[in-house]
Amino acid sequence: MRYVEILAAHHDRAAFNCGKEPLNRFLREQAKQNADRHLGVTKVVVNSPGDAFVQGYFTLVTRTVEADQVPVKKKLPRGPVGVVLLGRLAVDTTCHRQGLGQRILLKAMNEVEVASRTIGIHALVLDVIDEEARAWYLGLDFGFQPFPEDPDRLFVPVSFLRQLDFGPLDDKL
Amino acid sequence: MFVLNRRETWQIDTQLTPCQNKSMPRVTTSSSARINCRISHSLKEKVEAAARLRGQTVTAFTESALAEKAQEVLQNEERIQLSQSAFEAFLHAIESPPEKPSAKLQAALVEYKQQRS
Repeated sequence: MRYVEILAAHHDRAAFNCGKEPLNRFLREQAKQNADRHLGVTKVVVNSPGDAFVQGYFTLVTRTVEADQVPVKKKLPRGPVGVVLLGRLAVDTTCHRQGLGQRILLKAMNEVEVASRTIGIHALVLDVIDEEARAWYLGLDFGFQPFPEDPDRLFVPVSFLRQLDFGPLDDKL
Repeated sequence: MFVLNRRETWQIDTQLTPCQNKSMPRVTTSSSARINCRISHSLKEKVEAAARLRGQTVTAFTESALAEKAQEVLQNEERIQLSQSAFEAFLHAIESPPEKPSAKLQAALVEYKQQRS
């Protein structure tokens, strides 16, 4: 069993290597700073509580989805709609091919579903950074679909997450 | 990102190739798009050196660098703006009765719960 913890000073951010430098750099240089400024929360996966070695991480931040213009006639303008963005998800190369990325994604979906019971969230959104990521997310068949007119951004409605049985939300993974 | 230097400019022509995955629905109709920009000689040399280090062509390097930067900027934008029609399609999707979870997702959920118990 693994554990999920909020990124803290004792986690070894410098050693993390998922094979994609922008994702390494974000954990190393940006994640803690963003959390301190309440811009988003990064959680890391460790083998046991208190471990320094980061096996993977994910970041959740709030976003709004809105129309870029007011509708022309009749209809009242709707929105903006609150969503959560899975800003980043990465797994250290030493832990690749163990299904860890998929488990982290389920954890993120689980957290968003739980959060949606108390605050207005309508979807979990994510951006695919390259074709490999797109193929991975869509290949999982976890309910993500591309945004209308934007194939690089995927979402899953909260109504979909609500029908899934994640079991109780805890810090285990 | 690319600084214009009026005395010494070099041009990088980049074919930006969208989605390679043919099974995915695409919004754009062409198979590639072009960005033209003039950059300084020194930046061009720097880009070529960096591309060599990564073992990439200048085009591939430029494409991935642009993708990274665009991603970074978009990630920091707090509002996701859609066209009116795309927004309506999005609202329709989040308000419609949900699809049934796939067999793959259900199997993954069983494993997700088991490993934590």
